[in-house]
Amino acid sequence: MSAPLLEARGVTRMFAGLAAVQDLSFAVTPGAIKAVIGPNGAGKTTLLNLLSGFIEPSAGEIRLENRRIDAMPAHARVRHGMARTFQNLQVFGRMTALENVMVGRHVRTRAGFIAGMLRTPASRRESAAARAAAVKSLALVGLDGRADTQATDLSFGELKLLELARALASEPRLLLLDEPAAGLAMAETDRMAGVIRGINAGGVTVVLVEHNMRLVMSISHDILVLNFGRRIAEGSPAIVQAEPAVIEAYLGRDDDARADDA
Amino acid sequence: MDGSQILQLVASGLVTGSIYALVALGFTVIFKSTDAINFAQGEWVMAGGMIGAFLHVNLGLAPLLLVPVAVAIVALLGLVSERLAIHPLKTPSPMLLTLITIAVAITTRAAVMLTLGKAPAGLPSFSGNDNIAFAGITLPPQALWVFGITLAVMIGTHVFFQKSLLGRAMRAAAADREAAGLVGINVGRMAMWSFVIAAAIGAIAGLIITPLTLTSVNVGLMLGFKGFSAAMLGGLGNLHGALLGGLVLGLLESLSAGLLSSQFKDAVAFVVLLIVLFLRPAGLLGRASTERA
Amino acid sequence: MDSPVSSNSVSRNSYRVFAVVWALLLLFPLAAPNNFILNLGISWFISLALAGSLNLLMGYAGQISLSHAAFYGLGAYASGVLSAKFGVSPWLGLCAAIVLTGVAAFLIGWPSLKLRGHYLAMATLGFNVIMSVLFVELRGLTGGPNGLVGVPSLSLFGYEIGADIRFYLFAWFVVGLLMLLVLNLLDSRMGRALRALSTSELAAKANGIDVHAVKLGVFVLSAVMAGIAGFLYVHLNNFASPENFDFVASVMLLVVVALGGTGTYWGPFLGALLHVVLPEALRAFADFEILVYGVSLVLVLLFFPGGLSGAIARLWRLVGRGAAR
Repeated sequence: MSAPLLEARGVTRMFAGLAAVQDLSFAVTPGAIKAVIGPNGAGKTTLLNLLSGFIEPSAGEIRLENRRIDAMPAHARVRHGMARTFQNLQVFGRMTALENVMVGRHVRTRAGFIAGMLRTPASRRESAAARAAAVKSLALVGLDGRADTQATDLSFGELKLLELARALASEPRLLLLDEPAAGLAMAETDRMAGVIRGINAGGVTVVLVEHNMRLVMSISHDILVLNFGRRIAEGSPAIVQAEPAVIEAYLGRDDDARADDA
Repeated sequence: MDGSQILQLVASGLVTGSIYALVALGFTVIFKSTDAINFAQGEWVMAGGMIGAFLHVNLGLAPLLLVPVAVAIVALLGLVSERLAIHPLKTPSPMLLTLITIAVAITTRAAVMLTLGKAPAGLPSFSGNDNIAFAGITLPPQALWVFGITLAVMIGTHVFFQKSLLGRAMRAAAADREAAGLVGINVGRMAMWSFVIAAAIGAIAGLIITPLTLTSVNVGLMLGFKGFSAAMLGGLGNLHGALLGGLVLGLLESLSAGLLSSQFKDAVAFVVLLIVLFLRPAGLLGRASTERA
Repeated sequence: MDSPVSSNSVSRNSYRVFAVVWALLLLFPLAAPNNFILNLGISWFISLALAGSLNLLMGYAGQISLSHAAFYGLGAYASGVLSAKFGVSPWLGLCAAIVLTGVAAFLIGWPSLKLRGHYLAMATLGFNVIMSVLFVELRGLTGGPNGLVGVPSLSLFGYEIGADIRFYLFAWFVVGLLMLLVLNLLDSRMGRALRALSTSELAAKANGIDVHAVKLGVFVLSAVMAGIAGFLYVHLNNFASPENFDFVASVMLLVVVALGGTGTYWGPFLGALLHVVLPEALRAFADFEILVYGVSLVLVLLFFPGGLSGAIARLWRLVGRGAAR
């Protein structure tokens, strides 16, 4: 059993007296796909924001490869191999798909203001390499044909893949996905599942927050179930599905799950 | 420098500090309800004094009578500004909102200049000219009006936001727009009222200080900036902070001018702002976690 | 700034257009009927440096500076005072202008930009107010309210650059270089980081961009550009006076940049034109000048957030679509 890539120990986050996440501890095995599920308001998004550094924990530790990162600002975590996507899509509308993904290469490149203004040969070489890497990233998600399209002209499904490609461009060891299947039709969801599996096969550990049970059950190695900010179950899909506490938390969710598939 | 001279500096510092406190209050009221920094605040202070002076000279109204009239006019100005320039922006980015208040500020200043002229204007003291002396210091009677009215406005604002229906509705809208809307509060209207109130407070500040310092179309800039600095010192968004920040800034200015050099008195507010931004952006009374980018 | 969602990419085309425009500007002195018009052309170059630098800050970094005139003035007075009062070579004065504006911007920007919200706007307002006070009060250095006189003209290899076609060509070169550097910047890694954070700071952070550092870098860069513009100004006019660098001047810059259109490379070209032309056009209505600025800013912000260049771009796209049918 190898050391965990990501660990949370006793993580708590309060919002004006209410605990969005309460004393949460879990680990993510390198190379795994771990899903975080739970009813609305369970704290999943808060957890993702805590892990990626957009909010600070009120208590507890977060460790990436056994290095404490809970005080590290969000942009620094990317340098340490963590990348994320956003549920409500934060794509750069005024750039092409290719340029969007090139922004993802930011931490793998170095040219600063002066080098950029002077167009030094080193900075030009670096930009060319970044462009090539971006094209590869786009190809991984199947968007290489749309590289020069302005982002606002892409379809919703393509935008979700674009965010993924952009996150991949930083060559992360850990990818945090925020509801990658939200708003996607069934066929697009299956395509997304295939893309995520492919990324994982390439060695990237994935943590995904997701409502879509079809996606979760089909690709996850491991599932963490949250309710009211606490862990109520953790384990393989088979174990979690049979867990009474999980069924209880989701009582009445069956209808919603069917609506997701429509 | 002896004790009574320092006391004198303290006293005059508290007088100007009271004005800064009122300006700071205006900033705070609008910041709480819109998250925006209202650059027009200082111009409303200027407008209050200028309109008051005009009413006094041209209509012969006694100062205490023209105060409500001038305040009402400036409050109307605040209302119109909000309706015409702020409200039409459906989902403004913070930069857009700030830019618009800058535009409102310069438009207000230009409008006042065109209608009331560029010359300095004054108001007579509200209750006579015999200085009051005690404990080794002398104060003009207007200074007592400044203290008294500032206190009254502070208390009145506090009571308004704590007890009145409209005040509580405004606080609700400021705390959580969506939730407030769900319980039937017209959130857009709340922003409008915050502009009206801030304009009124600004006008009061302008009216009570003019008998002491004269006014002209250019005073708004400095007063606005110093009031903002005071608000930041006390903690932007904190009503008590506005009072504390204003008084402390007034004291710092007065003491540094008296004890160090009076030439660069105006720089004190700027230095204070930078120090606050560097060391404790939440100000003296604000909560530390609020503002990280 | 909420422009209509047009691309802000830099392409081969952008460079070609820039080269053509800049080459055409060499013809202006031939067309200018007299020295007054030629000097308006020189003023346009200086205004372009100012508008271009402010646009980088507003249109890309999304920050408001109410002290660009102060940086302009600081650059002018730095070089002016050193060369007029201390006989220092203006070229060293240029270095002083760059260093002083850069350091001042860093000190103001570092704490202000760490915070969410528009504290930079207020901090820069304060800075402008203070600088205005200093320009007037430090009479021994600056000449006080009557201004600084006796500032020498520039000379290159013994050849004096007077206020005519010689300065036009000099300004053409310097500002051309500055605008080229800006174009290069927008096309580079930092330029992409800047364009990213102008759309979504959240996503920029999530992609490893240190938003604070980039904003600070842009603020310093834009202040230095304004300082260089000041250097040009003071050695063109051999004079500097505090009233050109006060808060009203800063606001006017803001207005013309917004009118010209923020967030695009070409907006400042129009903004600079307005900056030169409007004061002349409004000279007859001096008292109304500020009212015009205020009202037009409100109108632009409410109805034409992309400014003039945004409106022209939209028209272009409409025409293009019509022609394609």
